[in-house]
Amino acid sequence: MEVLLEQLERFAEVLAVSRTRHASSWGRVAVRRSLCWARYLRHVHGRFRLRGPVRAALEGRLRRLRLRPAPLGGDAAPAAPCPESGPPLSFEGLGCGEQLLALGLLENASLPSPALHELLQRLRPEGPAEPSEEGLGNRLAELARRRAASQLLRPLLGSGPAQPDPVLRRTEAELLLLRLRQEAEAEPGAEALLLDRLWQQLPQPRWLAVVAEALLLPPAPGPRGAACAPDEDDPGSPSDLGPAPAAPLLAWLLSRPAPLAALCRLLPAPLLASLAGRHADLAEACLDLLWDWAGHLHFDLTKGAWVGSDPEGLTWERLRDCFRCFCQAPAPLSLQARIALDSCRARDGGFEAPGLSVWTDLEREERSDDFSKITYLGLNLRF
Amino acid sequence: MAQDTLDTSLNFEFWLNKAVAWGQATTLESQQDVCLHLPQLQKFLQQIYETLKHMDFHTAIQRFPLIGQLLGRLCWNPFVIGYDENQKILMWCLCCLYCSEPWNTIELEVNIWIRSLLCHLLSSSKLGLNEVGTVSQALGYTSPDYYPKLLKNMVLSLANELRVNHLNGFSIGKTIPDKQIKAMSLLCIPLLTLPDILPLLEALLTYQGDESKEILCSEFLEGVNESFLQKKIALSESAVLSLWLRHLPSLEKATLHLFENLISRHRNASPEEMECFIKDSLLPQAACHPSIFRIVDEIFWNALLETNGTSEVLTVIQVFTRCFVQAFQKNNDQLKFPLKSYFPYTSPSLIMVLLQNPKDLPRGLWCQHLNHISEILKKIVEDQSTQSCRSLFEHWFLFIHFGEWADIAAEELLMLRAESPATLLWLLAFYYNPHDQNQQRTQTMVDAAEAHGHIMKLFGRTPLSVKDLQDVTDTRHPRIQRLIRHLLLNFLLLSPDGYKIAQEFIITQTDEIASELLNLIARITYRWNRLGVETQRPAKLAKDLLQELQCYTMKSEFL
Repeated sequence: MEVLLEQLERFAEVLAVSRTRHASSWGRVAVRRSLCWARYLRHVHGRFRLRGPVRAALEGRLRRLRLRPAPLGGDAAPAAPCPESGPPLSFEGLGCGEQLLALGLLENASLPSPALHELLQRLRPEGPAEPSEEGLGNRLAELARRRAASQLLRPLLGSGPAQPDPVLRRTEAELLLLRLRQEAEAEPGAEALLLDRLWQQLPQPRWLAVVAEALLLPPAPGPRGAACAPDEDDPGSPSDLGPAPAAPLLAWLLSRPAPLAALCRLLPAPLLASLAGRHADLAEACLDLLWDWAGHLHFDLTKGAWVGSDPEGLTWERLRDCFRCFCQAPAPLSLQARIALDSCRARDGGFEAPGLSVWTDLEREERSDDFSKITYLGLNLRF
Repeated sequence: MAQDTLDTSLNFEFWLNKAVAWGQATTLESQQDVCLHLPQLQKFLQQIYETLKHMDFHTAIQRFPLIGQLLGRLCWNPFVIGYDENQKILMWCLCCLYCSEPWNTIELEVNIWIRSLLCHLLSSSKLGLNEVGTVSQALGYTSPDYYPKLLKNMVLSLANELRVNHLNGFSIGKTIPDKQIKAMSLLCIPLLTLPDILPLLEALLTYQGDESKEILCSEFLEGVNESFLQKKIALSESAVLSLWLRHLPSLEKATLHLFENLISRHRNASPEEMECFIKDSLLPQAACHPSIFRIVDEIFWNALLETNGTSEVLTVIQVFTRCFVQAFQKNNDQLKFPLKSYFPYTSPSLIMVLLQNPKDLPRGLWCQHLNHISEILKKIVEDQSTQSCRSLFEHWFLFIHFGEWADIAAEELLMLRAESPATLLWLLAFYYNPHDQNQQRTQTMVDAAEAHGHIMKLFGRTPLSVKDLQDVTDTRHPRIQRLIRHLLLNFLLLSPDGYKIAQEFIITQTDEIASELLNLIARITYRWNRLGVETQRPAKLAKDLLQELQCYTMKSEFL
């Protein structure tokens, strides 16, 4: 067992190095050996894939590896994994370790020719010396085929370069939830760190769209016993993620005022309403936030409209759109929204005339909407 | 070989020109042209690889100076890459050309070019896809992680759109125009054998447009059918049914493929094995739809005519009909068509009486039932007003479908359970000689009765010799030879004395007759097994006999 764990560590290092300039020192033997390890660990993954003590031990070791600074022989390496060295190795990553290694080496411009040549020979049918080596070429070819298939089918999905691509969003959302689960297994609390980092790193509209999609993904089909094997081809499928995959994401969102505010401000109103309709906690938080913002609006007599004191803050139009969508959402949310409107209006004095209380005016808008019977088709619109 | 080299060189130029013309396959014409040439291109690439694998870069360049252009262009054509094994072969070719120790600038540049081309094939970093890297990269995932997911989501989204489009067609108005659906089917052609695509294939196959014209392109339908017949994709029953309903050539091809399997490739298949093949082909289930049944039946009819009604074809039709009836009776929830729609030119009473499964009748009543069948058929045949050649053969063809009853008639004649052997003999005579005119038929009946009597006398004779058997089958009655052989065979299986010399007798026959007899034995044992008949000892003996004879015939063919 100890030998296995050592090899696991060795391979994780190797995988990390394969993507950096340190690979320039690799020769044929290094490539051969690393592929050998990758293959061996793939078999290990196949054998211990169903949860059990061996898998737990391997995952534990991988967890500890991530916290330890990577020894890169002399160079002071940063404690956090640098982006170019690729993702930290997870147990599931062992299943496609060979492919990850091969792709890493292929994409690494600093790998010398003889080393790459060694790799390429092993992709050919005559290349592998042993029968157990076969398959890497086939798997990579399958990857190429799938990539071509995505490229072929893409134009059919109808979204232009300017519009966001719903299929892409969905895939990214699934990957996000998968990563969150992996982080949670590695170490409790790591999910929040990851989400913080992503919030800093990615452009806001992009990130928020993915978060929204992830929160709207359909839940798992039903309770599954521990004896069920996870889907080998698709580890991130909703059924494998457990009963409440988005729980950590929701928790993070509710505990971070900045992302929550950005969500309420930037997400298209109908999408926000779908989210709120699905997660009661979020609905409450959003309504609180909207109430808070509404307090910052004052009525400008010269313009005859409500304006905000903060030019970056919420506008009257946004507030109105949000409430409009909330009130037209299905049951608990619409009721919640209307009650909020009523109570806030009452608190402000219960006026009927416009321009005195922002809540009165909001409610007038809702009433006129109801009167003219505008309906949004399919409130679970997902943009 | 010099000829081969010449061929490959000429072909090389041809394919390079094609690759240049196709570009990245962005226009409809280029897409259609690529799809047309995909199988040959794959063969050609395989040939190229076979040549390249023994060469290094320099030899390869001398042999194929423009290899770089060809490989490069093909790698940028997603239709080419998406098809079957093209991507694998192209990858292998590139791996062959990579220089392990580059000595000069050219080799260095070649290496860089090969590496970038492989990266283009495999990884996501330089993509035409809209920023697909950003979030996924930030999450730490690479292509092996997300291409399967991305593709799965794309397929599901498209399949869903198709379904919704279909439902919306009547009220709100379609979101996907017909032209785009045709384009969709074209785009799927290279991807047919990719398992991820299956939901989309099924959605396309079951899609019904408003027009009566076919929306999907025919190359797509042919490709799906071909892949299905070669067992490269696992379509659901309803998808296959849709395919065959909308594309007649596919149905015909599927039926002929089944026939070929049963008659040529698996010549010695027992009826049990035939049943497996037939059920696997999904044709009986599809044939519950009368239009499909009629077409399959037509093909059987032609096969019968072409082969002059050999025993093998009769068996195939019999087993197929059995599978069809099973599927038809199981088809509870779906729309059940009236029986007349399957056999429109025949009398409904005949259909009903033939449809009766012998398993559901007590054995003692079989004779009675046979008499009933005989009566009805006789009436139809001798009725002057319906006496058209066509009608006669339609009824005979119907009888062939349920030829099990003829087999039972022969057996009952031998077991002497019939009250009036003449009726059963008539049935058997009609089975083998439907075209007899009135006078001929009378003569046939006389001859048949004589032969029957002769065979019954063999029961008592001991010791029985092969010569005795040959006396029966001599050419005294040339026109009823098959009937006589059928009766004689039953005798050989049912009488202990007959069984002893059966093998000896069959060996002395011509190959054609021997295979006819073997086929009959197989049919008889199949029936006995199915009906759970108490002739257990004869059943086992028959099976042994069959095996020995099959070994013998295979040996003699080999010699």
